[in-house]
Amino acid sequence: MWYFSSPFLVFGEDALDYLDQLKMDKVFIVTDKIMRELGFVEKVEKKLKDIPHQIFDEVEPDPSIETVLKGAQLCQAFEPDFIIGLGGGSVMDTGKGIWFLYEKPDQQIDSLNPFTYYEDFPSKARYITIPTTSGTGADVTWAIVLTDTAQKRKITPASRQIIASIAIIDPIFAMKMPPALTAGTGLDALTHSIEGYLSMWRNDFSDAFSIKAIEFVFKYLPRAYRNGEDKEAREKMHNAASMAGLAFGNSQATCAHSIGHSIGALFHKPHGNCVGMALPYVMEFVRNNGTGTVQKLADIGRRALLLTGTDEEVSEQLILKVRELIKEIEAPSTIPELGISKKEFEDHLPTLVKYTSEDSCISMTNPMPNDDQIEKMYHYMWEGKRVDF
Amino acid sequence: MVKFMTGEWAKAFCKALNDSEAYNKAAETWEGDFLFVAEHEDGTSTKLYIDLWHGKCRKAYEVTDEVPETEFVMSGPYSNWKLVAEKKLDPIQGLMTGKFKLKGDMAKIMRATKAAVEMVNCIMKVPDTEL
Repeated sequence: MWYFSSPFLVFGEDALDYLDQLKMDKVFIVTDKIMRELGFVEKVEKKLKDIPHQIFDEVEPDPSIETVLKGAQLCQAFEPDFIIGLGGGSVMDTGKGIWFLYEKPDQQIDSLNPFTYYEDFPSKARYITIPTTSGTGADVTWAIVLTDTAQKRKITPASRQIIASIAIIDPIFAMKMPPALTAGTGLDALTHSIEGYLSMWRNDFSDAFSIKAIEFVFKYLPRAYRNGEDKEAREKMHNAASMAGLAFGNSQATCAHSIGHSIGALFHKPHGNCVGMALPYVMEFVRNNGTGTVQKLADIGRRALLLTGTDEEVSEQLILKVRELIKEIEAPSTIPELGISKKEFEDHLPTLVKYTSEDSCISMTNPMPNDDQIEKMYHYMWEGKRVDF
Repeated sequence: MVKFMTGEWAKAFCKALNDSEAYNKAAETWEGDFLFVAEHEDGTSTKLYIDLWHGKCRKAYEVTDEVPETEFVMSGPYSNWKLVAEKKLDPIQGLMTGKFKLKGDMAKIMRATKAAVEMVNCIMKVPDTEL
């Protein structure tokens, strides 16, 4: 027995109009200041017309537990029947945390877990996610990535019950993304879909979303990167990001995410760049060491990219295609290209290895690397060397 | 051969934990004790006490009289425990689908997921288990 969780999805041009169809009494909007500056908050407010609403725009990149607590306190006082998370992954994750604590004020956010069934959840509000970048998948996943500022590390409270009630995937919000953000978030989507396919918990349903998302990322990400006005590419990438979210959200991410979380927590580099940088190295590691992974990578290559040849050949071609894509969209392919100095890297290497080995995604890797292998991978990522062990 | 979910098996499980380098490392900062409860069809249950300390198992035995108070209790039908030992059921997926219940400080578990995974994986590593 296994599950597949998904919000009700509204997608495509004018998807935001779906808000007109909802009977809402009071709306609490979780967002950040950039969304205000871009006029996105105003777009949503126009849809709400006279419906009373309150805006919490204090979500920071790598949101902290404290931000969730502050938002939840305001939400409790406002008593909405709808909560909207408008923004990137940080905003939408913060919204999930606020929603959970609004519904269950007696709970702690860091104790939210997938093993407990929360009675009568939700009973006060429904949660709507509106992604404004094309990559995080947070609009359709049930984990929250938060920063524990005291411990200087990420925590990932999770429960299938906190998946959004509705996800509005309107490409209009992705049109203004600058090229670097398009590249980084697009690589996040690629990493979700490939890792979702390689995960120990992959399943028939997640596989379907992985393959389609990988196909779309290879086809449309370079176009969206080169020309942000390319509406078709923007729309397909926006859909690909949510499909990738459904894939890994229902099968879990693996070691590239453990590496990405660790680099992100220590150096505050964009998440998509970190996981995208790590992706080909991890693909090489699992291809060399995993059970059935050559065939799985070949499956991806054949189904998503129509590559031909033996399993060995196609898996190799796929990894090279990932490396080429990263170069084509001018994203970091090594740790130095992330903007980390040799001294910083060397000083933090033991912590990077520790955080990576303790990250929850590592358990889903086939096979799970040990500390020596993780450290070696970090050296290879520093040098830009292909993983040969 | 050691019979599954007995005192003898608990000791073998304890050894499997101590022999597992992956568990030793993943749990090096973990402290806490578990009660494994296997519920039988006739309404009785088998309870195993497992004391974990900084990557090692200090003590493990079958509880036959007074049930000790433990930080965590993992319980489920004996048939599901057996599926785990047979590698037919991923114990974490079992927890997520309600085939097992876990009680205790969930924040502590969520901060030590790798240790938890390695610990339950050792159930499958006990050699010569008679099911």
